[in-house]
Amino acid sequence: MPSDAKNTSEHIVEQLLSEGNREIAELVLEKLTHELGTRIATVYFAGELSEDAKKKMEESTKKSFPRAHSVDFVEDKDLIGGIKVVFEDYVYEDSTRKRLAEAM
Amino acid sequence: MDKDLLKNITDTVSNWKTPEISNIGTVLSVEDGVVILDGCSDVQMAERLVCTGKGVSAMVLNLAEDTVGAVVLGDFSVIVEGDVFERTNEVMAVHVSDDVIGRTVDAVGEPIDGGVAFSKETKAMPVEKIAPGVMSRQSVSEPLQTGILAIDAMIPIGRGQRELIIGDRSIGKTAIAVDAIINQKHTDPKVICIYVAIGQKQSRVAQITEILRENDAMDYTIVVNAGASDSVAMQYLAPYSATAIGEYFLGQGKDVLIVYDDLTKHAWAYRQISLVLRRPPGREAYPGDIFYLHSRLLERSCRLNEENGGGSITSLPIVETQFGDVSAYIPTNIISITDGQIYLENDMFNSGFRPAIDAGNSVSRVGGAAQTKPMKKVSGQMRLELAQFKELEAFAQFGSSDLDERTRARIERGRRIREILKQKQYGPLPIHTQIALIMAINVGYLDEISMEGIADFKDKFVLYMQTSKNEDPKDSLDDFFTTYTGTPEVSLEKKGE
Repeated sequence: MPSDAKNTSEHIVEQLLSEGNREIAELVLEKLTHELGTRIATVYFAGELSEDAKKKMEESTKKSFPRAHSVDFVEDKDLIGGIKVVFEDYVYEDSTRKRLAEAM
Repeated sequence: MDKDLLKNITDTVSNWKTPEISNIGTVLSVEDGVVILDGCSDVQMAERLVCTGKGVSAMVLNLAEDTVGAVVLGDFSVIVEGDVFERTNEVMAVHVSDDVIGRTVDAVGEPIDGGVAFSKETKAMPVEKIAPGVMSRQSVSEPLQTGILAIDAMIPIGRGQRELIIGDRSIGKTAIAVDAIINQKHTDPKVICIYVAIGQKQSRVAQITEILRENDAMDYTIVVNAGASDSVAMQYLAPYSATAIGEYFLGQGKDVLIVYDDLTKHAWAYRQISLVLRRPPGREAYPGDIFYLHSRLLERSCRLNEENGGGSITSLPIVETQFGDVSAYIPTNIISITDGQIYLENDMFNSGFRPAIDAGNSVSRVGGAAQTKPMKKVSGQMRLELAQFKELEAFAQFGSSDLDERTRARIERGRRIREILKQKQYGPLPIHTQIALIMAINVGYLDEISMEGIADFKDKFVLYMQTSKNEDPKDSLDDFFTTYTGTPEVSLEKKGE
């Protein structure tokens, strides 16, 4: 989410709270959290991933998915090797598991 | 390590390509072969999706704001909530080659007759396609002979025409279509025939396939079967797949005949899918786009001009009515889409008049343009005489003693015409035999034969025509009557006319 929009949203929530509209403020917060949550790209990896590699991975992920707000890293041993990047309903998978499944 | 294994691994690894970003959707629900997906935001209508890890395909049918609706083409019982479908970036297509002729295939074009698999060299034909435009078409002018005297003489069908066969259940609708297919064995080059069975019992489809085989019609026929036990998705897709197969042969400049048996069941399947997709129900619970469902299908029937190969697709859609009610939703829709209809009447069928074609309510909007010159010449008079007979028939019920001789003669002629129009199932008549039979009526040969003797005359004359080398119908008739013993009362003057 762009920082301008984020500031405006925070301002709206604060305004709602100050006016005593707690229920509406909570609803807006929930929507915002959901919106921010779906803007996170998740990189699944198997084995070790150095900080340097993570940084490079983050850069290339944001380049491939410009709308990604941030990048999370999750270890997934089922991949056997390689990576899998998930952002919204897009998937990039270059893992040993997938290669083996395709070769079978 | 085994050298072959090592080579195999090396080859596999060297063929690895860099994967691309794929667009996926997660199954939220699956009902009656219809899946609702969360995701697949870039997907397009009629695109093929594949379930990851399960290999089951689905076709996109609904694009909502947050979800995508798709029909599963195959075993949907293996699909569970949370399964992932992936885009294939290709519109749903059937893979067709010349091998498909003589085979029975399912709605996705895969063989289901237990025969050998199709060759790999196939052409992908999209199941959904915009119909050819006006500029690439030419008018319907070449006849498609059905071998049924009543149709070829009075309701002629042209190549590229869409002629509806409509009537109640078990009245002989399929028999007419099957006869039309069987009759194509006389054509050269052969008209490629496609019989599409939608929502029918498997035993019935097997029976029809066997009849086609016994009559050597499977040499140029393809059966596309989406039976009653198949999913509604397959029943929905079958006519579109059949048309795509037809378009493959159309592209080769060939003439194709497609029988959709029947579109009532197709409409039922689409209604079921639409209701599961939560589309608002309209009249008779059909969705709002039920007309478009059939119009976009039948509009693909055409006769292309020479620049586009000159091929044609003729359609014989079948629609079932309830108690002869042609004003129901689906019948009226399809009547308005097609270029005419062959209406089968209950009372005629029950009184033993078969095929029970009601010439009064049947029409071909192409008309005489789809008839050969000799047939056009002889059938006009017969049609007129039959119409006159229908008007006079009411008077005949009160006894013919008070009627003048001319009227009586007309009634007698009309009765004989009706008798000659009776035809056995799976016994289509060649066009020259049909012309000779009509000529026999017009000239007055049959006036001298008793009503009971008409069937005998017809049987013997048809047999005679099978062996006769005489090409002129008039000469054939004269020759036949010199030896015909069934009607000794035929006068020499009549023969000389």
